[in-house]
Amino acid sequence: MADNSTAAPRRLPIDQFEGDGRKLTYFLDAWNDTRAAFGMWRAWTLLGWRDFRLQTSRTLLGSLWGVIGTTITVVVLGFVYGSMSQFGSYNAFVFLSAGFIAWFFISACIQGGASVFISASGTLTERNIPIFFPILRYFFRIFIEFITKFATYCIVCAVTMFNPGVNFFLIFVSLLIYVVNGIWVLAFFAIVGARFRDAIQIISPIMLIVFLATPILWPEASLISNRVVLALNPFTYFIDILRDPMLGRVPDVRDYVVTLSAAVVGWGLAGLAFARSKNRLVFWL
Amino acid sequence: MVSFELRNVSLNYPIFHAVDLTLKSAVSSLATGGTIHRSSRGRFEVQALTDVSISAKAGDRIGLVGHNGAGKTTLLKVIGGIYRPQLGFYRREGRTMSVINPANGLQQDLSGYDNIENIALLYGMSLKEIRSHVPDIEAFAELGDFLSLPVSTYSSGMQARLAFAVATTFEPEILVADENLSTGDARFMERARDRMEAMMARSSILVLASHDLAALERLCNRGIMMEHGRIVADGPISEVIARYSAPQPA
Repeated sequence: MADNSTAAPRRLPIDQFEGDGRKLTYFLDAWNDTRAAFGMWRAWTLLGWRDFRLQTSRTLLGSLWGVIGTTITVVVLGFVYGSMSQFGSYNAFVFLSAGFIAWFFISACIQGGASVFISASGTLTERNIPIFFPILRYFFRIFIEFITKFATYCIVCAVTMFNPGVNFFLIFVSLLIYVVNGIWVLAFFAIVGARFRDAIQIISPIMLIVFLATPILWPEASLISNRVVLALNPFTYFIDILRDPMLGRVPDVRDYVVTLSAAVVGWGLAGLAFARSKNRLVFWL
Repeated sequence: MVSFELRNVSLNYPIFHAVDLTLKSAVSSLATGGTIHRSSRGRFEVQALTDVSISAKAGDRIGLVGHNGAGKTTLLKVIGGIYRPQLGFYRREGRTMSVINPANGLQQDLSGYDNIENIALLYGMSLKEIRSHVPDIEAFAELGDFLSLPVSTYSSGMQARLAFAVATTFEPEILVADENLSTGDARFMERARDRMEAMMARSSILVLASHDLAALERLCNRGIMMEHGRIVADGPISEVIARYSAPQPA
């Protein structure tokens, strides 16, 4: 029990663990670790910000490169694909920019997530920081990058004189859903990536297939048959929930149901995986 | 109360790249390192620590001796809170810093100054607080303008200096340091000793693994000797060193 005597200038940090093979022990240990990691928010926001800056630290335009890249992609694809009749009433440029921004975050959580622990192996094998910490640090870094990508959307809206209207403000709900889902996805793939080194190699080709099979470059309405593929593809709902407000539309109730259920199931899954692997992770690096 | 306790701690390393390890080679490697064996699931494991119990209180300066692969670094990592024991009880009270492999703890592409700030952020300091410590680190590490260069340009001794300077500046109550520290030159070792002594004055615990017996004898008051992942001696440093350096029975 904590000693409350006034002699101690401050509370000493206590770390306690008993390896007894009981599942509950590992759950509690993982829970405490995760809580401690979230509690270090000052550290992971600042370090995440620094990591973000570091990515482009020796380039001329710095973080602008990310925005320029996305903008060029959207403009070129908008000209090529925009003339297709399938876009119908949509503004193709806005549609593509919103889809790319959403996809950036999704793929960063999955593909980038797979190497989070591997990249953090130096710190994790040298310092007694929470194992969950690198996940939050990386999460914050890609979240900043994600937010900067909205500049592309703003440019496209301004140039094409597109006004999404009040419905745009629903995006804040969508962003919250992205955050809640993003962290578990990152955690899950970080664990998988650390344990199975093949994961990174397998994930990238799969992500390309998923990208092409998800309505990012083409609107859902353009599919004449095989709509079941869309309905079964969870990414469809995640793209929709962020893109619809950006297009001035209210997302479907189905989108909320699927993404929120994914958050519940996903946190359960990631929690189980983390509790199982937390103490072994350091040995996998 | 600053303290730590290990009770019947055991630890295995799973090995993922040893599929071609035969039982014969496993047996022949018994001379150094922990014991290699197959787990129930057919995976190879190295038994790095077996039934280790230590209890340390404020004022203990523990010198850890043992042959290569005796489990010293593993034990340091358990004490430092980096590894969780798979079996046994572990409790630590007090802010802990470890200098085990300096290169691991530093971000190689960042400058010394950026590393100082990043490490401090990891330990919950604000940037303002850290900056007040920077002159002290500068003075102790004696790296001069190198602190503005990426850490990858440092020699291993310089990295050790930086890591040690940072770790001790944050006034840890428990300091865990591995023999990599001895990559520093004589002058640095001298000053490192002064610094550890100053740290000890603030009622802390020091755990130091080294092959430099003279340094351990000067710096420590308690010795622990390890062999094949077990503690074989624990007592006053001079006795433990005497036993360690005694000729082995053939």
